Amino acid sequence: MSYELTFKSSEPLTLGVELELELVDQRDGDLTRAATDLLRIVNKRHPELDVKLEITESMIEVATSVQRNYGGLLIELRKLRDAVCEGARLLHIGVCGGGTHPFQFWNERHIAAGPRMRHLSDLYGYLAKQFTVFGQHVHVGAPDGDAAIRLVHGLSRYVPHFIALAASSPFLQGEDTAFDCARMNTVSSFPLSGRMPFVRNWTEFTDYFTKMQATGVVKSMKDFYWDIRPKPEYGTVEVRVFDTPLRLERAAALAIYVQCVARRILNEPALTLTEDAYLVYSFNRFQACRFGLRGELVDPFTRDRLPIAQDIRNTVAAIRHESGPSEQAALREIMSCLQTGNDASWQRARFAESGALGMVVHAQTRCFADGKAN
Amino acid sequence: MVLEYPLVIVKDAFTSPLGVTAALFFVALLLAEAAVRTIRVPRIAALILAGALIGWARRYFPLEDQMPVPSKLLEALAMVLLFEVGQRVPLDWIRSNPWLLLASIGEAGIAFILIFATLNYGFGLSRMESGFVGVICMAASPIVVMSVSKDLRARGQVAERALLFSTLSSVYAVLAMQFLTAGYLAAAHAQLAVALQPVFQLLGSFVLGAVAAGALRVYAWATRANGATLTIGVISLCLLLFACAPPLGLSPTLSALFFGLAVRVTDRSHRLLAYQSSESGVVLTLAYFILLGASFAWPSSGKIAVMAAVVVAIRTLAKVASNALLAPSSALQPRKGALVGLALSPLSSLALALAAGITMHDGLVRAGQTAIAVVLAMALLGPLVTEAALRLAGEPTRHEA
Repeated sequence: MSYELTFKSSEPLTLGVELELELVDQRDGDLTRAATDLLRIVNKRHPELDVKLEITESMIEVATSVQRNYGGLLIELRKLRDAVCEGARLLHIGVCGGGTHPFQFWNERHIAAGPRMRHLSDLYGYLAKQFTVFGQHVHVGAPDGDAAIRLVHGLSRYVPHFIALAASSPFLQGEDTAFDCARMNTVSSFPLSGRMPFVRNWTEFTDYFTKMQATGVVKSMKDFYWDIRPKPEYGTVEVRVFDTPLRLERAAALAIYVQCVARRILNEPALTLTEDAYLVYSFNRFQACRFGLRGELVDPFTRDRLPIAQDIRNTVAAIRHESGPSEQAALREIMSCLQTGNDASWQRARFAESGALGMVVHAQTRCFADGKAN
Repeated sequence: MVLEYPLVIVKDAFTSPLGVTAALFFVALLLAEAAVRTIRVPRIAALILAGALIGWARRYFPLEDQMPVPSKLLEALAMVLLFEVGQRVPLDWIRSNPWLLLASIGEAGIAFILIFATLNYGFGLSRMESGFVGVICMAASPIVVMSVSKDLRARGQVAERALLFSTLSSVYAVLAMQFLTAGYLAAAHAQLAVALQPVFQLLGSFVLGAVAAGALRVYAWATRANGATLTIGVISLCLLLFACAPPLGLSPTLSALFFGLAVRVTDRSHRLLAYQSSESGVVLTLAYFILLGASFAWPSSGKIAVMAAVVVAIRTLAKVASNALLAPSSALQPRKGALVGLALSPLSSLALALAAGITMHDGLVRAGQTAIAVVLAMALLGPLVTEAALRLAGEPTRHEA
């Protein structure tokens, strides 16, 4: 069956946010098997909300409808959070953000029911279970395919910002990885991960996709695990490099940050970048994953090195005057992240206090439920 | 002569009560682990079966005198495991989902009523006798449910609810037994103090458990205990409860449960909860199940065996049906509710102690024997059924499980 690659036009700069959430045992904080039971309750009580299964039974995905600003996004995310937490209380499980679970073991995970999940498990073997990592995906509306391609390339420059600001996966399999974002290392294991090839417009992209489809390697856009990918059926570009933040306020602020940067990119009349834009893409991405906001960014054109935090400050300063009052609140949240540190540093601080990763998870569930980083 | 002397020493060493006990214990462990590895019998069931085998051996070979089953040790081990049950049981869940409490009362109540009716109307047992058997059999063993779940590293609603419901049903059984015993005795000698005994038991055991939890906190603070040091502290306090509760007229079972619960509720830093993963906890569990198996007496009367078989069937049916029926009210699918009911099959030392207790009353010997036969059947089959229920729910996470 061939896959139609028609880009469905959408209102530019509209937003949609998906959050993959951890389902944890209230006793010891380990991941538990509860997605199907939780989904039944939430779907029955709140059929209007978009909550669905993810690849393993220990995770669940919530998604907002199309939103335009910080306030609307936050209201809907809170509605989703409250619905999921209400169901979780009935099942005595915890729900939290965070890019990885600090001490779960991948071989204990159960693949969720459903043909796609089974296909992924058959195809990727143990990688499917290792994919029990938790990300935030931000969709930005684009008017047409060419604009979407411009957005993908333009936003790639900011991937280190996105990773460093959202990083919340310092622990993996019971160890401090020394990375702020260890989740991306898991995603990188997949053969079709990384960045989109340098195509200049939608026609070139369609040619590329058709060739790949002919090889039998991909069937649909879902088979690409790129950091940023066009999503033609929604008329959006999907940014997939964020760890799921611990608080909804941070999640919504990150989406608005993407929207503000995207606005600047779409204001440019045409794609001015060359493939050299990707010269140091992997290095910058590594710096953000490893060191978070303390990482360094290399400009592929000027060869300048700049701390990631400083580059974010510069970007916020540049986009602030183009933003409305609602966006200002989101940008304040971004600036406060630069001052107080990202979620990874918060998680390390909680671990230093308690000495137990289970306690870190309990703190994460409280933080997710009440939105306070206490 | 020179050679004979050392042989005598060796013979004496192995035929002493302690030597026989230790040797049979070792053989039981060997048999159980061999069965787990070769024919994949669930570990808890294998341990009880191996224990039952040595129990049989000591009766049919001249070993009974050399190997007295240390029933006090069994009860003391049960105390430590009940402490762990108390630590793990999610009682705070009831606050956010109060239907769970009603569902647990419902499932225990339905099991009691059906067993009572079967024995009273079907087999002609007196109301009092039927009531005692019904009370013992409405319970389920939280120790077995917890041990099987831990062995499989099961996580999910069936494992969690089975642990909650088995604990609650055990509490109901202990209290109902007190009420029934009080009623039974009051019929002969009417005394208000006897009738109020269950209330005193509940409150007194709670206070005793809370005092033990306070003592453990002081111990942990003073010794900075963790690992083995913490385990020794827990075991010592459990033994102390075991020794102190009966003279105070309190229930050792409830005291140990409340001790664990109080630790769970007050241990905000989760420091004391580290006890549950200790290796000594595993050793105690192994010893407990072998001793439990060795403690059983097989039914000598055919009628008792038939009554027990019917009670087992009715009890299983009642637990499965009532849990399936009541599951939706507490936000669970009926299918999973039925699996919770299946997982509640096991009976163990608590039911055995309750059953042994009623055989001491002249008019209740038949009821006691019937209850003991049911406990025997469900101690042997229960772990297998619980494991099957957890597997059907897809909850084991141990990768080789």
